[in-house]
Amino acid sequence: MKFIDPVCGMEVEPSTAAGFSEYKGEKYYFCAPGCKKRFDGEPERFLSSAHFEPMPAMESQMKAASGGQKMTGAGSKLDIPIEGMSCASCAVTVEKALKGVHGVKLAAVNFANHKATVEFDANEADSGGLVAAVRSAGYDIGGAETRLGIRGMSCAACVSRVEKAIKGLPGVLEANVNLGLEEARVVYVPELVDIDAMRKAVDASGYQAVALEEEQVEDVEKERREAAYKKLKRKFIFALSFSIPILIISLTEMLPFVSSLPQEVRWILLFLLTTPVLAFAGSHFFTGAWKSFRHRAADMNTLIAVGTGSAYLYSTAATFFPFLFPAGLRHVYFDTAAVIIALILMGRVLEARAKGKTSEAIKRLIGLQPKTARVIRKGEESDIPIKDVQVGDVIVVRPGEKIPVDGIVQEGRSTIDESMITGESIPVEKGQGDEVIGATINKTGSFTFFATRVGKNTMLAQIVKLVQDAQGSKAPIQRLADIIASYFVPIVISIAILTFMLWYDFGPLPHLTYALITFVTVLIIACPCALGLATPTSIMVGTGKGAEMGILIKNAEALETAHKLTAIVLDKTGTVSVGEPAVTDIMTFNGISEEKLLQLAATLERGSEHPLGEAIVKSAKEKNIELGSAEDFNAIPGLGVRGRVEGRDVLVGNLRFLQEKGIFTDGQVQTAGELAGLGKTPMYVAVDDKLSGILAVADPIKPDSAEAISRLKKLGLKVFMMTGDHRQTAEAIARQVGVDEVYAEVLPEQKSDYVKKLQQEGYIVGMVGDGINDAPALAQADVGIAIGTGTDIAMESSDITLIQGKLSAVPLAIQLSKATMRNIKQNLIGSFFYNSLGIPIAAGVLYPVFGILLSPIIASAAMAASSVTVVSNALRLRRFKPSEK
Amino acid sequence: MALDQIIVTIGGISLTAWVIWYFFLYGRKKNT
Repeated sequence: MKFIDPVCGMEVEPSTAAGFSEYKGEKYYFCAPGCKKRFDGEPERFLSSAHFEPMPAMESQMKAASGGQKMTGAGSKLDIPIEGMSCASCAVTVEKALKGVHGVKLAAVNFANHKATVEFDANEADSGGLVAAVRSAGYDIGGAETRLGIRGMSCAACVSRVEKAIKGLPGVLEANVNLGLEEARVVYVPELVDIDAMRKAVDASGYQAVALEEEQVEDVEKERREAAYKKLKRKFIFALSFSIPILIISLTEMLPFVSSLPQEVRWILLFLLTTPVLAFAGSHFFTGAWKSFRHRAADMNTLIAVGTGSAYLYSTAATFFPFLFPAGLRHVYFDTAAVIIALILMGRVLEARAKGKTSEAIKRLIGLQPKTARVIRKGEESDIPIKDVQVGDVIVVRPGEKIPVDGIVQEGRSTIDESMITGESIPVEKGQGDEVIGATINKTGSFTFFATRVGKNTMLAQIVKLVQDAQGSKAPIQRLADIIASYFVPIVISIAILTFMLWYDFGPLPHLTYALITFVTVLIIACPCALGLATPTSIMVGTGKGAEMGILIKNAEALETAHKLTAIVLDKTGTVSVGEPAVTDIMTFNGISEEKLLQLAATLERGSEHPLGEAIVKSAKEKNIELGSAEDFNAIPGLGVRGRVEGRDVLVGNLRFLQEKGIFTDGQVQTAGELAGLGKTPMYVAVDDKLSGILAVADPIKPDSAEAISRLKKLGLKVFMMTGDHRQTAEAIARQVGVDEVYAEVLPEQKSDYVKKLQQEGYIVGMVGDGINDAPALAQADVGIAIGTGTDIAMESSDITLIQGKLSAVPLAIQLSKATMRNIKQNLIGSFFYNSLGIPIAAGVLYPVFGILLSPIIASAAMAASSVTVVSNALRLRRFKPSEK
Repeated sequence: MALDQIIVTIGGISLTAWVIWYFFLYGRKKNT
C-alpha cells in the first residue's frame, strides 16, 4: 500500500519510508527525514488542504503576475524572446516550430525585436513545450535569468514541486531546481513575471524562497544586448585584422614583394590566415546553417556558409592537392571567403547598433519610472523602493520631483508636466481630488496623494506593455514578406547551382573559376535580411514615435489600416465637445445683474439633478458666487423647476414652462431661437413672475476640434459626426466645426449600425469615441480610436488610444500611419529591387553583353549595405513631424 | 560536350532537384 508524504506530495511505501509520525490518531509516512522534521514542527499546516492545493492562492498571484497578459478561459498569450535568429526565414522557421506544438493557436515571430508571440490553450500546451520547440528548431531562448535560494526542500519530490510552482507562472520559460545547492535557476520574461511573484509561488507551495541576487531587469536585458554587440564587434575586428594581410598576399600583381614568394608558400600562408577567420569569426554562420539544415530549413547562414565554405574548400584542395586540378584551374579564393565574412560581420555590427535604436522609445518610457517614493507610513516619511509602494499609501511629492505611481491628490496644489505621458507640452494645474499620473514631473508646489495604481497597473506600465505588444505584432503587409522569405533561400541555392552549371558548360575559360565565382556571388548577394527587417523595424519605430506623441497604437494592423481610412466618424459628446454642459451666455432683462441672476437660478437648481441645472450650479461656483438655500422647491419633469429664494419666487425652465405660467416672453423668443440655432439650450429665468434673463447652456466645443476636422478633410477623409442630440443642436455644432455630415438623434445601440452602413457603402471607417456607449462602434470600425480621457472600456475596444484626449491627435495618428506605411513600402521595394537586380547581375547576365561580372567581395559589401540601409531608413521615422497642411 | 561538362550538368540538375525536394517537399511536410 502506498501513502502520500504530506509535506512534498510524493508517494511512499511504508517499507521504504524514511520515517513516520502519528498525529491525531493517523499515521503519516515520509520520503525523507527532512519532510518528517518539517511535519512534526507544524503538522496542521501540511494537513490543511490549502497546502496541497496551492491553486487558489497561486491563481491570484498568477493573475497579478500576468499583468497585461491576456488570459481568456484556458487561452494564454506569451511573449518569448528568441535568440540566434539571423534573418526573416529564421523567423518563419521558429514560427513553424511553435505552430507545430499541440495546443498552439497562433504564433507570430518578429525578427526585428527577436520576440515570438504565442497564443495557446493552457490545458494543452505549456511554456516548457514552447521552449523545447524553439530549441529543437535550432534557436535559443532569450529572457532574463535569475537564481532564487529555496529553503525547506528535503527530497527529489520537493524539487519537482518547486519547479512546478515556478513554471506555473505565466512568463516563466524554464525553472531548474538544484537540491544540493538549494537553488532555483529561472529563465523568465521580465515583462510578464517578476521575482516577487516567483517568491510568492514558492512560498505558496510550502517552501521559502530567498533572493540570491537583487537585479534590475532592464539592466540584465541591456547587458545581454551589449554583450552580444561586443561579441559581434570582437569577431568583426578579428576577421578584419586577418583579412588585411590576406588581401595583401592575394594581390600579387600589384605588390611585387609578395610575388617574390613562391606560390605554394603564399597559398599555405593564406590558408593559415583564412582558417581562423572561418573557424572563429565566422563559426556561427556554419553552426547556424547546420542547425537549420537538420531541420530542413535554410536561412541566410546557409547562403553564407555554402558560399564561403565552397570557396574555402576549393582553395584548400588546390593548395594541398594541386595535382587533382588541371593546370588552368589551380587557383585559390581564400581572400574571397575571409573578406566576405569580415564584411558581413561589419554589416551585422552596424545593423545591431541601429536596431538597438528602434526600441529606444520603449527604453525611454521605462526610464521615466522613478526608482523610489517618499511614503508616509505610521506618521513617518521614508524613502522606499518603488516596487514596495502599495495601493492606499500616502506619498509626498516635492517641487521638481517625479510622481512615483498613479494616484489622487489628497492635499496641496501644483502644476504638473505630463508631456512625457500625454504629449501635451503645457503643464496641468492639479489640486485636491485630481488624478496624478506616475512618471510625470511635479513643477511648482508640494502635495501628498493616495496611490491608486502601482506596479504593473500604473498608466506608464500599461503604456509600455501596449507599445511592446504593438511592436511585436505583425502587420498584414509583412505576411507577404514572410512567404517570400520562406521560399527565398532554397530558390537562391537552386539559382546558384544552375548558374554554376551554365558557366561551367557555356562560360569562357577557365570554366571552373568562372563557375565558382558566380556561384559564390549569387549566394552572397542574395540576402533576405533586408526583406525580413523591412516591416518590423518601421513598425517598431512608428509605434514608438506614436507613444512619444501620446498616440498609443495597439497593433501593427491598426497602424496599417489607419492610412487607408476614407471616412472618420466622430462621436460628439466628449470627442468634438468637452462632454460637460456649461453656461455659455447670460442675458439679463429688467435691470437684474448677471451675478444676481446666476445666484438665484443656481440656488434653485442646487436641488435639481438635471444636467442643465448642474451646469448652472457649476458656473456659479466657478464665479465664486455664494449660494443660499431654496424653499418650496418643485421640479416639474420636462419643463423646469420653481421655488422661493431669498423670499422671491424664482422659476427656471424652458419656454413652454414660462408660457404655461403665463409669463410674457414674446420679445425674447427670437433671441432664444438664435441661441438654439447655435446648438445651445436656452433656460428662461423668471423672478416674481417676470422674465429676468436667459441662461444658455451648451456642451462647449473643444478648442482644437474645428482645426482637427479641417485637417482630417485635407487628408482626404469624409468627416461624419454622430450624436444622440436633437438635429437642430447637432447641425449647429456641425456647422461650427465643419463636419461633412451629421447623424443626429442616434441611440447608443445604433452607433455601430451607422458605422456598418458606412462600411457597406464602401468607406473604410475610423471611429473616434470616448464613452462606454461608443465601444461597439469602436469595435465595428476598421480602426477604433479612443479619446484617452474617456472610459477604460472605450480604450479596450479601440485600436488606437489618444492619451491627451484631443481631437487634433486623430489627424496626427493618420499622418503617422501614412508615414510608417510609406517607410515600409520604401523598405520593401528597396529590398525587392536589390535582390531582383542583384541576383541576375551576380549570376552574370551582364557578362555576355557588357563583360561585367560582380566580384563576391562587392556582393558581400552590397548585402551588408542593404540591411543597414533598411534599418537606417526605418530610423528616419524617429524624426517624423506632422505636416501642417 | 565534354565528359566533365556532362557530369556537371547532370550533377547540377540533380542537386537542384534535391534542394527543392529537401527544403520544400520534404521539409514542408515535416515542418507543418
